[in-house]
Amino acid sequence: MVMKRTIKNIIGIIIALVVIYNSVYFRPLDEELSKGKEIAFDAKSFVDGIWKNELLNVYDSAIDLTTLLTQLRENPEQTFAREAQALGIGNIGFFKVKGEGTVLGVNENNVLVTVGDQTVEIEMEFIFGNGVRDASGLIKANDYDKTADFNSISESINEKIRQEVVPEFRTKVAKGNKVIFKGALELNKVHLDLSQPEVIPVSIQIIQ
Amino acid sequence: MYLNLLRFLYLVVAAVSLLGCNDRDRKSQDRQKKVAVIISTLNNPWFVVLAETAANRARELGYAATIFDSQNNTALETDHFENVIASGFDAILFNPTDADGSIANVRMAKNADVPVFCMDREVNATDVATSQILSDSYAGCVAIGKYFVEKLNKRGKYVEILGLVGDNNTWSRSKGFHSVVDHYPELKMVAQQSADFDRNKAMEVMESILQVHPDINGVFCGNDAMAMGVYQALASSGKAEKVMVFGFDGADDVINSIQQNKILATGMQFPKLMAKTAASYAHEYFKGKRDFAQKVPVSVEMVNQENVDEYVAYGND
Repeated sequence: MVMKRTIKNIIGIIIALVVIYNSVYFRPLDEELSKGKEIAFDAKSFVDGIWKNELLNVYDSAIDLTTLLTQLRENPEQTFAREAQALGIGNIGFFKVKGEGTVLGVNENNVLVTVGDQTVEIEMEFIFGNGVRDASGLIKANDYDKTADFNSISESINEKIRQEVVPEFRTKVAKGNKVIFKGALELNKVHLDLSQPEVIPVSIQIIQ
Repeated sequence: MYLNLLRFLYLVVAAVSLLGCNDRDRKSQDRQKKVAVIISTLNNPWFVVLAETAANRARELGYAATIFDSQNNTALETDHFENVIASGFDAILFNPTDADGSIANVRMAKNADVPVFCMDREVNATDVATSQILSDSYAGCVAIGKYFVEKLNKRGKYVEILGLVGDNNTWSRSKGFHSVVDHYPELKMVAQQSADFDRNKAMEVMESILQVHPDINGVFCGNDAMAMGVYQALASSGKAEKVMVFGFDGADDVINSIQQNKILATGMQFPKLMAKTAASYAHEYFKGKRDFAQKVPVSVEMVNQENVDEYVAYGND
């Protein structure tokens, strides 16, 4: 009787193992990808995923724009080394900035804001390029095999700003409004021009 | 007695072998290392600057350097790689002909333990080259795209002249430009054709396009050589003053043409900086460094009629 049960158990285990073995197949990923099933990088989903909890969070620690401009005028080299983000080598640096000011004028392509005694251009139309992505310091080129995928992240970030950040502000803003903003600023350390800094906003609100 | 003699002979053979090895190692260390500079084409002054700067920097660092011209031909590039590996070169400073077609050549060098440092152009693989020092063409052309939109006042007909279709830079530049310009529906692209980064081909292509579209307002070119060819075609047909031409590279003749108001803008790449960085990386590799970033972007700066006086052709080092 015991013998019969043991044989039954062994047969049961063998059948279970055969079923499990034949239920799962492992194939090399590169073999699957070579069959044309390459997983396309979805930049929009990626940006939607990082926007609130990562990207905007990083901009919470942005430097005050007036402080940054003062430091850049006093010691550009050290300020670039300390505050700028850059992907590789060259003269271009990106800064996370925040500020508060009074709207001086609303133009076709931008809103001019007086921050302290400095006129700052908040971009409303020309929201392009890698400024917001690179100033954040969150996303690295070497994490992406394809340069095109890496660049598509910037396009999705910029699209989100054009769709979700700019329109509401643009319809309400008027000369004399008090505004607060956070955004990205691109500067060239060799050809440094601080006459009218251009900020691409990641957030901008009318507070008064 | 016999066994002792055998042990003694064994000891002698071992000692001689070890001495031989040390001698060979010392000879290998003493031999001047050789660096190959393999360039997609030398039929363009920009690549001549890239090649010569890389070779000169390698020589300054104490290495023998030889330049090879692939003449935009992947098969010839393969021949160069085979010769370079067979001739015992120790590193390759490489400007690829084709992002996909050049991968096998870089892999061949990797398999032979010869490090490859790509300059300006990338290969579509991240596990073959030791490092790739690349112009940020996309960002450079975003800047040109914005300037293009402003100068054409957001409306008009334009033409795009592309570079080599197998080169990633061609598409990075085109995508950067279109990431801006395509947001303006009143800017209509009436023709988009390749001229292989070649001045003469660009002139011929532009002459043909002008037959069909004589009323264009702007031309965006994927490099400066093509911008010069396009300008020549426009000048021959009396349209040079009506059509705005934009290039990319920062080459000598285009910087002069911007100063003379013939060309509107270009994206300044820094071939000398890229070449010197690649040679320095090879030097560090010989000293034992292995942890190089796979991609090292180099910023591109827009040179236009407002800031041209601040720049020199081919940029600073």
